[in-house]
Amino acid sequence: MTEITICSGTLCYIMGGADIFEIETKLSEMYNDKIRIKASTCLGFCEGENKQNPPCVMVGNELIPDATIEKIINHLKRLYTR
Amino acid sequence: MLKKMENNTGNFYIDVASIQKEKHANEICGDVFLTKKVSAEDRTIIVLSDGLGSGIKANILASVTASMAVNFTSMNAPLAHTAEIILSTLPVDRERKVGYSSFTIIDIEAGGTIHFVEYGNPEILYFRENETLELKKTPVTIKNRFRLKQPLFYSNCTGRRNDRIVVCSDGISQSGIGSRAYPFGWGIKNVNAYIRDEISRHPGISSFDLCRKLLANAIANDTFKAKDDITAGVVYLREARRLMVCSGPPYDENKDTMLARDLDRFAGTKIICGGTTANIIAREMHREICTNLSHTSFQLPPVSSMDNIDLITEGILTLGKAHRLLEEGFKPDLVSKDPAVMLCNHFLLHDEIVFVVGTKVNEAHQDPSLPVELEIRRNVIKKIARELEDNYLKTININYI
Repeated sequence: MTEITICSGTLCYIMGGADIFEIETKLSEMYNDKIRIKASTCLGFCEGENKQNPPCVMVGNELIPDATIEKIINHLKRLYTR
Repeated sequence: MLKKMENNTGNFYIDVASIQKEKHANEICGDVFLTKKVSAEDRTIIVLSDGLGSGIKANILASVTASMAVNFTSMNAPLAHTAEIILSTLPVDRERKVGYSSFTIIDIEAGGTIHFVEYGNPEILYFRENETLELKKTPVTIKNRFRLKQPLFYSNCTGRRNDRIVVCSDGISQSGIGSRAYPFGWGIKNVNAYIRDEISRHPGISSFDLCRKLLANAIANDTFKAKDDITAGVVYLREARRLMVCSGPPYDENKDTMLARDLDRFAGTKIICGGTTANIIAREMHREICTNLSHTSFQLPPVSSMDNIDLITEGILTLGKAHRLLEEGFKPDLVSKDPAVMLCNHFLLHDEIVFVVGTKVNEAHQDPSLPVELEIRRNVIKKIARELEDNYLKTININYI
Protein backbone atom coordinates (compact mmCIF):
# COMPACT_ATOMS: atom_id res chain seq x y z
CA MET A 1 0.00 0.00 0.00
CA THR A 2 1.45 3.35 -1.07
CA GLU A 3 0.45 6.48 0.79
CA ILE A 4 0.01 9.70 -1.16
CA THR A 5 0.25 12.68 1.18
CA ILE A 6 -0.86 16.00 -0.25
CA CYS A 7 0.47 19.04 1.58
CA SER A 8 -2.42 21.40 2.35
CA GLY A 9 -0.22 24.22 3.66
CA THR A 10 -1.03 27.71 2.37
CA LEU A 11 1.73 27.94 -0.21
CA CYS A 12 1.23 24.44 -1.65
CA TYR A 13 -2.52 25.03 -1.79
CA ILE A 14 -2.35 28.27 -3.77
CA MET A 15 0.45 27.03 -6.04
CA GLY A 16 -1.70 24.23 -7.45
CA GLY A 17 -2.19 21.87 -4.49
CA ALA A 18 -5.94 22.62 -4.55
CA ASP A 19 -6.23 20.78 -7.89
CA ILE A 20 -4.32 17.75 -6.62
CA PHE A 21 -7.15 16.98 -4.16
CA GLU A 22 -9.07 15.84 -7.25
CA ILE A 23 -6.55 13.03 -7.90
CA GLU A 24 -8.85 10.28 -6.66
CA THR A 25 -11.25 10.93 -9.55
CA LYS A 26 -8.42 10.77 -12.10
CA LEU A 27 -6.74 7.55 -10.97
CA SER A 28 -7.21 4.28 -12.74
CA GLU A 29 -9.19 1.63 -10.81
CA MET A 30 -6.15 -0.62 -10.76
CA TYR A 31 -4.77 1.53 -7.92
CA ASN A 32 -7.89 1.19 -5.76
CA ASP A 33 -6.38 -1.28 -3.31
CA LYS A 34 -2.78 -0.17 -3.79
CA ILE A 35 -2.82 3.43 -2.65
CA ARG A 36 -4.24 5.57 0.10
CA ILE A 37 -4.69 9.31 -0.35
CA LYS A 38 -4.44 11.64 2.58
CA ALA A 39 -3.85 15.32 3.26
CA SER A 40 -1.48 16.85 5.73
CA THR A 41 -0.90 20.19 7.37
CA CYS A 42 2.23 21.97 6.04
CA LEU A 43 4.92 19.38 5.39
CA GLY A 44 7.55 22.10 5.74
CA PHE A 45 9.30 21.63 2.37
CA CYS A 46 8.61 25.23 1.34
CA GLU A 47 11.11 26.71 3.80
CA GLY A 48 14.68 26.20 4.93
CA GLU A 49 17.87 25.79 2.93
CA ASN A 50 16.69 22.85 0.84
CA LYS A 51 13.33 24.33 0.06
CA GLN A 52 11.35 22.84 -2.77
CA ASN A 53 8.89 24.32 -5.21
CA PRO A 54 5.29 24.01 -4.04
CA PRO A 55 2.97 22.15 -4.28
CA CYS A 56 4.66 19.24 -2.56
CA VAL A 57 3.28 15.72 -2.45
CA MET A 58 4.79 12.66 -0.82
CA VAL A 59 4.34 9.35 -2.63
CA GLY A 60 5.45 6.80 -0.12
CA ASN A 61 8.77 8.14 1.13
CA GLU A 62 9.52 10.04 -2.03
CA LEU A 63 8.92 13.77 -2.36
CA ILE A 64 7.43 15.16 -5.54
CA PRO A 65 7.98 18.93 -5.70
CA ASP A 66 6.12 21.13 -8.17
CA ALA A 67 3.54 18.36 -8.16
CA THR A 68 0.70 17.91 -10.61
CA ILE A 69 -1.79 15.05 -10.91
CA GLU A 70 0.03 13.98 -14.09
CA LYS A 71 3.39 13.85 -12.33
CA ILE A 72 1.95 11.76 -9.50
CA ILE A 73 0.27 9.33 -11.89
CA ASN A 74 3.52 8.93 -13.87
CA HIS A 75 5.34 8.26 -10.64
CA LEU A 76 2.78 5.61 -9.65
CA LYS A 77 3.06 3.99 -13.08
CA ARG A 78 6.85 3.71 -12.68
CA LEU A 79 6.39 2.36 -9.17
CA TYR A 80 3.95 -0.36 -10.18
CA THR A 81 5.53 -1.42 -13.48
CA ARG A 82 8.93 -2.09 -12.00
CA MET B 1 -26.40 41.26 20.88
CA LEU B 2 -24.06 40.33 23.67
CA LYS B 3 -22.72 42.35 26.51
CA LYS B 4 -20.57 41.53 29.48
CA MET B 5 -21.80 42.40 32.94
CA GLU B 6 -20.35 42.05 36.37
CA ASN B 7 -22.47 42.19 39.48
CA ASN B 8 -22.58 40.78 42.96
CA THR B 9 -24.39 37.67 41.77
CA GLY B 10 -21.32 36.74 39.73
CA ASN B 11 -20.24 37.63 36.22
CA PHE B 12 -22.73 37.12 33.49
CA TYR B 13 -23.25 38.02 29.90
CA ILE B 14 -26.38 39.46 28.44
CA ASP B 15 -27.34 37.46 25.38
CA VAL B 16 -30.18 39.26 23.60
CA ALA B 17 -31.88 37.99 20.47
CA SER B 18 -35.09 38.72 18.64
CA ILE B 19 -36.98 37.33 15.71
CA GLN B 20 -39.84 38.75 13.69
CA LYS B 21 -42.38 37.77 11.10
CA GLU B 22 -44.74 40.17 9.41
CA LYS B 23 -48.49 39.51 9.18
CA HIS B 24 -49.37 37.39 6.14
CA ALA B 25 -49.45 39.39 2.88
CA ASN B 26 -47.66 42.36 4.47
CA GLU B 27 -44.24 43.46 3.39
CA ILE B 28 -43.04 44.89 6.66
CA CYS B 29 -43.46 44.03 10.31
CA GLY B 30 -45.48 46.41 12.46
CA ASP B 31 -43.48 45.50 15.60
CA VAL B 32 -40.08 47.01 16.35
CA PHE B 33 -37.45 45.51 18.62
CA LEU B 34 -34.55 47.81 19.56
CA THR B 35 -31.54 47.40 21.81
CA LYS B 36 -29.04 49.96 22.98
CA LYS B 37 -25.84 49.62 24.91
CA VAL B 38 -25.07 52.65 27.07
CA SER B 39 -21.34 51.99 27.36
CA ALA B 40 -20.56 54.82 29.78
CA GLU B 41 -22.98 53.44 32.38
CA ASP B 42 -22.67 49.78 31.39
CA ARG B 43 -26.39 49.52 30.78
CA THR B 44 -28.41 47.60 28.24
CA ILE B 45 -31.80 48.88 27.14
CA ILE B 46 -34.21 46.69 25.23
CA VAL B 47 -37.51 47.87 23.80
CA LEU B 48 -40.31 46.07 22.00
CA SER B 49 -43.04 48.16 20.46
CA ASP B 50 -46.13 46.99 18.64
CA GLY B 51 -47.73 49.61 16.40
CA LEU B 52 -51.49 49.82 15.92
CA GLY B 53 -52.65 47.76 12.95
CA SER B 54 -50.10 46.29 10.55
CA GLY B 55 -47.89 47.20 7.63
CA ILE B 56 -46.05 50.48 7.08
CA LYS B 57 -48.32 52.55 9.32
CA ALA B 58 -47.82 50.18 12.24
CA ASN B 59 -44.10 50.07 11.60
CA ILE B 60 -43.83 53.86 11.70
CA LEU B 61 -45.81 54.03 14.95
CA ALA B 62 -43.68 51.29 16.50
CA SER B 63 -40.39 52.80 15.23
CA VAL B 64 -41.23 56.21 16.68
CA THR B 65 -42.26 54.61 19.97
CA ALA B 66 -39.28 52.28 20.26
CA SER B 67 -36.67 54.89 19.42
CA MET B 68 -38.21 57.42 21.82
CA ALA B 69 -38.45 54.79 24.56
CA VAL B 70 -34.81 53.77 24.09
CA ASN B 71 -33.55 57.34 24.04
CA PHE B 72 -35.63 58.65 26.96
CA THR B 73 -34.70 55.61 29.05
CA SER B 74 -31.01 55.98 28.28
CA MET B 75 -31.27 59.62 29.44
CA ASN B 76 -32.90 58.44 32.69
CA ALA B 77 -36.10 60.44 32.03
CA PRO B 78 -38.95 59.84 34.53
CA LEU B 79 -41.07 56.93 33.42
CA ALA B 80 -44.54 58.53 33.42
CA HIS B 81 -43.14 61.53 31.57
CA THR B 82 -41.56 59.27 28.93
CA ALA B 83 -44.83 57.40 28.38
CA GLU B 84 -46.87 60.59 28.15
CA ILE B 85 -44.53 62.15 25.63
CA ILE B 86 -44.53 58.99 23.51
CA LEU B 87 -48.31 58.72 23.47
CA SER B 88 -48.90 62.35 22.67
CA THR B 89 -46.28 62.31 19.89
CA LEU B 90 -47.68 59.35 18.00
CA PRO B 91 -49.44 60.18 14.74
CA VAL B 92 -53.20 59.58 14.83
CA ASP B 93 -54.60 56.66 12.88
CA ARG B 94 -57.12 58.06 10.35
CA GLU B 95 -59.49 55.10 10.67
CA ARG B 96 -59.37 54.40 14.37
CA LYS B 97 -58.85 58.03 15.43
CA VAL B 98 -56.23 57.03 17.99
CA GLY B 99 -52.50 57.21 18.13
CA TYR B 100 -51.52 54.06 19.81
CA SER B 101 -48.63 51.74 20.13
CA SER B 102 -47.81 49.40 22.98
CA PHE B 103 -44.32 49.06 24.38
CA THR B 104 -42.18 47.10 26.79
CA ILE B 105 -38.92 48.51 28.15
CA ILE B 106 -36.23 46.42 29.84
CA ASP B 107 -33.37 48.39 31.36
CA ILE B 108 -30.51 46.27 32.72
CA GLU B 109 -28.12 48.22 34.96
CA ALA B 110 -24.46 47.51 35.65
CA GLY B 111 -25.22 46.36 39.20
CA GLY B 112 -27.63 43.71 37.92
CA THR B 113 -30.84 45.61 38.72
CA ILE B 114 -33.38 45.23 35.96
CA HIS B 115 -36.22 47.71 35.44
CA PHE B 116 -39.32 46.73 33.49
CA VAL B 117 -41.94 48.97 31.99
CA GLU B 118 -44.97 47.35 30.40
CA TYR B 119 -47.64 49.09 28.40
CA GLY B 120 -50.15 47.08 26.42
CA ASN B 121 -47.91 44.18 25.27
CA PRO B 122 -48.30 40.61 26.60
CA GLU B 123 -46.71 40.43 30.04
CA ILE B 124 -42.98 39.91 30.45
CA LEU B 125 -42.04 36.35 31.39
CA TYR B 126 -39.11 36.02 33.79
CA PHE B 127 -37.56 32.58 34.25
CA ARG B 128 -35.26 31.53 37.08
CA GLU B 129 -34.23 27.92 37.68
CA ASN B 130 -37.04 26.67 35.49
CA GLU B 131 -39.68 28.58 37.41
CA THR B 132 -41.54 31.68 36.31
CA LEU B 133 -40.72 34.54 38.63
CA GLU B 134 -43.65 36.74 39.65
CA LEU B 135 -42.66 40.36 39.11
CA LYS B 136 -44.24 42.72 41.60
CA LYS B 137 -45.90 45.24 39.34
CA THR B 138 -46.73 48.78 40.34
CA PRO B 139 -49.37 50.47 38.19
CA VAL B 140 -48.53 53.98 37.01
CA THR B 141 -51.41 55.95 35.58
CA ILE B 142 -50.74 58.17 32.61
CA LYS B 143 -52.93 60.10 30.25
CA ASN B 144 -52.49 60.38 26.57
CA ARG B 145 -53.81 63.31 24.64
CA PHE B 146 -57.20 61.60 24.13
CA ARG B 147 -57.65 61.24 27.85
CA LEU B 148 -57.63 57.49 27.46
CA LYS B 149 -56.23 56.08 30.65
CA GLN B 150 -53.88 53.23 29.89
CA PRO B 151 -52.56 50.89 32.54
CA LEU B 152 -48.77 51.10 32.65
CA PHE B 153 -46.81 48.82 34.93
CA TYR B 154 -43.41 49.24 36.46
CA SER B 155 -41.47 46.46 38.14
CA ASN B 156 -37.88 45.61 38.95
CA CYS B 157 -35.70 42.77 40.16
CA THR B 158 -32.06 41.77 40.48
CA GLY B 159 -30.81 39.54 37.70
CA ARG B 160 -28.89 36.37 38.41
CA ARG B 161 -26.81 34.16 36.20
CA ASN B 162 -28.96 31.81 34.08
CA ASP B 163 -32.08 33.99 34.34
CA ARG B 164 -34.10 34.46 31.17
CA ILE B 165 -36.51 37.20 30.19
CA VAL B 166 -38.96 36.66 27.36
CA VAL B 167 -40.94 39.45 25.76
CA CYS B 168 -43.31 39.00 22.86
CA SER B 169 -45.90 40.85 20.85
CA ASP B 170 -49.54 39.71 20.77
CA GLY B 171 -48.75 37.96 17.48
CA ILE B 172 -47.30 35.19 19.67
CA SER B 173 -49.82 35.14 22.52
CA GLN B 174 -52.83 35.42 20.22
CA SER B 175 -51.52 33.08 17.53
CA GLY B 176 -53.96 30.38 16.52
CA ILE B 177 -56.95 32.50 17.53
CA GLY B 178 -60.18 30.98 16.22
CA SER B 179 -58.56 27.59 15.70
CA ARG B 180 -59.92 24.43 17.25
CA ALA B 181 -56.82 24.00 19.40
CA TYR B 182 -56.70 27.59 20.65
CA PRO B 183 -60.07 29.31 20.08
CA PHE B 184 -58.88 32.30 22.15
CA GLY B 185 -55.29 32.15 20.94
CA TRP B 186 -52.19 30.37 22.26
CA GLY B 187 -52.36 32.51 25.43
CA ILE B 188 -49.51 33.80 27.57
CA LYS B 189 -50.04 30.94 30.08
CA ASN B 190 -49.44 28.37 27.36
CA VAL B 191 -46.46 30.38 26.05
CA ASN B 192 -45.08 30.40 29.59
CA ALA B 193 -45.53 26.63 29.97
CA TYR B 194 -43.99 26.01 26.55
CA ILE B 195 -40.88 28.04 27.40
CA ARG B 196 -40.47 26.34 30.79
CA ASP B 197 -40.66 22.99 29.04
CA GLU B 198 -38.08 24.08 26.43
CA ILE B 199 -35.70 25.37 29.10
CA SER B 200 -35.99 22.19 31.15
CA ARG B 201 -35.24 20.08 28.06
CA HIS B 202 -32.46 22.37 26.75
CA PRO B 203 -31.01 24.20 29.76
CA GLY B 204 -28.33 25.92 27.65
CA ILE B 205 -30.63 27.01 24.82
CA SER B 206 -29.45 30.29 23.31
CA SER B 207 -31.66 33.36 23.13
CA PHE B 208 -31.81 33.09 19.36
CA ASP B 209 -32.84 29.42 19.37
CA LEU B 210 -35.58 30.08 21.89
CA CYS B 211 -36.85 33.01 19.77
CA ARG B 212 -36.81 30.79 16.71
CA LYS B 213 -38.84 28.10 18.44
CA LEU B 214 -41.43 30.58 19.71
CA LEU B 215 -41.83 32.01 16.22
CA ALA B 216 -42.11 28.57 14.62
CA ASN B 217 -44.86 27.59 17.09
CA ALA B 218 -46.78 30.81 16.64
CA ILE B 219 -46.70 30.50 12.86
CA ALA B 220 -47.78 26.86 13.07
CA ASN B 221 -50.69 27.92 15.33
CA ASP B 222 -51.69 30.37 12.58
CA THR B 223 -51.54 27.51 10.02
CA PHE B 224 -48.42 29.05 8.48
CA LYS B 225 -50.07 32.36 7.57
CA ALA B 226 -49.31 34.78 10.39
CA LYS B 227 -52.54 36.50 11.44
CA ASP B 228 -50.66 39.37 13.07
CA ASP B 229 -47.12 40.76 13.22
CA ILE B 230 -45.08 38.41 15.37
CA THR B 231 -42.04 39.32 17.49
CA ALA B 232 -40.25 37.30 20.14
CA GLY B 233 -37.34 38.70 22.14
CA VAL B 234 -35.25 36.77 24.65
CA VAL B 235 -32.67 38.03 27.15
CA TYR B 236 -30.42 35.37 28.69
CA LEU B 237 -28.03 36.24 31.53
CA ARG B 238 -25.50 33.50 31.08
CA GLU B 239 -21.98 32.41 31.80
CA ALA B 240 -19.36 33.69 29.39
CA ARG B 241 -18.42 31.35 26.56
CA ARG B 242 -14.68 31.54 25.98
CA LEU B 243 -12.68 30.81 22.86
CA MET B 244 -8.93 30.75 22.23
CA VAL B 245 -7.62 31.03 18.68
CA CYS B 246 -3.90 30.33 18.17
CA SER B 247 -2.43 31.39 14.86
CA GLY B 248 1.18 31.54 13.81
CA PRO B 249 4.42 30.18 15.23
CA PRO B 250 6.00 32.12 18.12
CA TYR B 251 8.83 34.49 17.16
CA ASP B 252 11.07 32.72 19.63
CA GLU B 253 11.11 28.93 19.26
CA ASN B 254 11.66 28.59 23.00
CA LYS B 255 8.08 29.73 23.49
CA ASP B 256 6.61 26.80 21.54
CA THR B 257 6.11 24.76 24.73
CA MET B 258 4.44 27.68 26.49
CA LEU B 259 2.06 28.18 23.57
CA ALA B 260 1.09 24.50 23.52
CA ARG B 261 0.63 24.41 27.29
CA ASP B 262 -1.47 27.59 27.40
CA LEU B 263 -3.75 26.30 24.66
CA ASP B 264 -4.08 22.88 26.24
CA ARG B 265 -5.01 24.31 29.64
CA PHE B 266 -7.41 26.92 28.32
CA ALA B 267 -10.88 26.59 29.85
CA GLY B 268 -13.05 26.94 26.78
CA THR B 269 -13.11 26.18 23.07
CA LYS B 270 -9.73 25.85 21.31
CA ILE B 271 -8.97 26.60 17.68
CA ILE B 272 -5.72 26.57 15.71
CA CYS B 273 -5.49 28.55 12.47
CA GLY B 274 -2.34 27.52 10.63
CA GLY B 275 -0.70 24.25 9.66
CA THR B 276 2.70 25.09 11.11
CA THR B 277 1.12 26.18 14.39
CA ALA B 278 -0.85 22.91 14.49
CA ASN B 279 2.37 21.00 13.84
CA ILE B 280 4.07 22.80 16.74
CA ILE B 281 1.22 22.03 19.16
CA ALA B 282 1.07 18.39 17.98
CA ARG B 283 4.83 18.02 18.46
CA GLU B 284 4.80 19.60 21.91
CA MET B 285 1.74 17.67 23.11
CA HIS B 286 2.79 14.40 21.42
CA ARG B 287 -0.46 14.21 19.51
CA GLU B 288 -1.39 13.34 15.97
CA ILE B 289 -3.07 15.58 13.42
CA CYS B 290 -5.60 14.12 11.05
CA THR B 291 -6.55 16.14 7.96
CA ASN B 292 -10.05 15.67 6.63
CA LEU B 293 -10.04 15.09 2.87
CA SER B 294 -13.78 14.88 2.42
CA HIS B 295 -14.49 18.62 2.22
CA THR B 296 -12.09 20.24 -0.20
CA SER B 297 -14.44 22.30 -2.32
CA PHE B 298 -14.43 25.68 -0.59
CA GLN B 299 -11.34 27.24 -2.20
CA LEU B 300 -9.66 26.72 1.13
CA PRO B 301 -7.39 23.96 2.42
CA PRO B 302 -9.34 21.34 4.41
CA VAL B 303 -9.76 21.33 8.19
CA SER B 304 -7.85 18.96 10.45
CA SER B 305 -8.44 17.50 13.87
CA MET B 306 -6.40 16.73 16.98
CA ASP B 307 -7.33 15.51 20.46
CA ASN B 308 -8.51 18.29 22.79
CA ILE B 309 -8.64 20.86 19.94
CA ASP B 310 -12.04 21.84 18.60
CA LEU B 311 -11.01 23.02 15.13
CA ILE B 312 -7.82 23.23 13.07
CA THR B 313 -7.84 25.29 9.88
CA GLU B 314 -5.22 26.60 7.49
CA GLY B 315 -4.00 30.07 8.46
CA ILE B 316 -3.98 33.14 6.29
CA LEU B 317 -6.41 32.16 3.50
CA THR B 318 -9.04 30.93 5.97
CA LEU B 319 -8.64 33.96 8.23
CA GLY B 320 -8.91 36.23 5.17
CA LYS B 321 -12.16 34.62 4.07
CA ALA B 322 -13.49 34.67 7.65
CA HIS B 323 -12.83 38.41 7.74
CA ARG B 324 -14.72 38.91 4.46
CA LEU B 325 -17.67 36.88 5.79
CA LEU B 326 -17.81 38.90 9.00
CA GLU B 327 -17.59 42.15 7.05
CA GLU B 328 -20.53 41.13 4.87
CA GLY B 329 -22.68 40.37 7.95
CA PHE B 330 -22.30 36.75 8.98
CA LYS B 331 -25.19 34.56 10.12
CA PRO B 332 -24.29 31.22 11.76
CA ASP B 333 -24.54 28.23 9.45
CA LEU B 334 -24.00 25.10 11.49
CA VAL B 335 -24.35 22.77 8.50
CA SER B 336 -21.61 24.22 6.29
CA LYS B 337 -18.26 22.45 6.08
CA ASP B 338 -16.49 25.53 4.73
CA PRO B 339 -13.53 26.05 7.11
CA ALA B 340 -14.04 29.84 7.18
CA VAL B 341 -17.75 29.44 7.98
CA MET B 342 -16.90 26.92 10.71
CA LEU B 343 -14.44 29.43 12.15
CA CYS B 344 -16.99 32.28 12.02
CA ASN B 345 -19.61 30.05 13.68
CA HIS B 346 -17.25 29.68 16.62
CA PHE B 347 -16.64 33.44 16.73
CA LEU B 348 -20.35 34.10 16.95
CA LEU B 349 -21.09 31.40 19.50
CA HIS B 350 -18.59 32.79 22.01
CA ASP B 351 -18.42 35.96 24.11
CA GLU B 352 -14.77 36.30 25.07
CA ILE B 353 -12.26 35.57 22.34
CA VAL B 354 -8.53 35.42 22.96
CA PHE B 355 -6.25 35.50 19.93
CA VAL B 356 -2.74 34.22 20.51
CA VAL B 357 -0.80 35.45 17.52
CA GLY B 358 2.62 34.09 16.69
CA THR B 359 4.69 36.89 15.17
CA LYS B 360 7.16 34.84 13.18
CA VAL B 361 6.75 36.02 9.58
CA ASN B 362 6.59 33.32 6.94
CA GLU B 363 8.97 34.78 4.38
CA ALA B 364 7.79 32.45 1.64
CA HIS B 365 4.38 34.18 1.89
CA GLN B 366 5.89 37.55 1.01
CA ASP B 367 7.10 36.48 -2.45
CA PRO B 368 5.60 39.04 -4.89
CA SER B 369 5.32 36.40 -7.62
CA LEU B 370 2.62 34.43 -5.73
CA PRO B 371 -0.68 34.18 -7.62
CA VAL B 372 -2.62 35.68 -4.69
CA GLU B 373 -1.67 38.35 -2.22
CA LEU B 374 -1.08 36.92 1.23
CA GLU B 375 -1.59 39.43 3.99
CA ILE B 376 0.47 39.53 7.13
CA ARG B 377 -1.28 37.42 9.78
CA ARG B 378 -1.13 40.12 12.43
CA ASN B 379 -3.04 42.56 10.19
CA VAL B 380 -5.81 40.11 9.28
CA ILE B 381 -6.34 39.17 12.90
CA LYS B 382 -6.46 42.85 13.90
CA LYS B 383 -9.17 43.41 11.27
CA ILE B 384 -11.15 40.36 12.45
CA ALA B 385 -10.84 41.52 16.06
CA ARG B 386 -12.10 45.01 15.19
CA GLU B 387 -15.01 43.56 13.24
CA LEU B 388 -15.96 41.21 16.09
CA GLU B 389 -15.69 43.96 18.66
CA ASP B 390 -17.58 46.67 16.77
CA ASN B 391 -20.24 44.75 14.91
CA TYR B 392 -20.65 41.52 16.87
CA LEU B 393 -20.08 43.01 20.36
CA LYS B 394 -17.48 40.43 21.40
CA THR B 395 -14.83 40.97 24.04
CA ILE B 396 -11.47 40.49 22.34
CA ASN B 397 -7.96 40.07 23.65
CA ILE B 398 -4.96 39.77 21.36
CA ASN B 399 -1.69 38.42 22.76
CA TYR B 400 1.39 38.48 20.56
CA ILE B 401 3.92 35.77 21.14
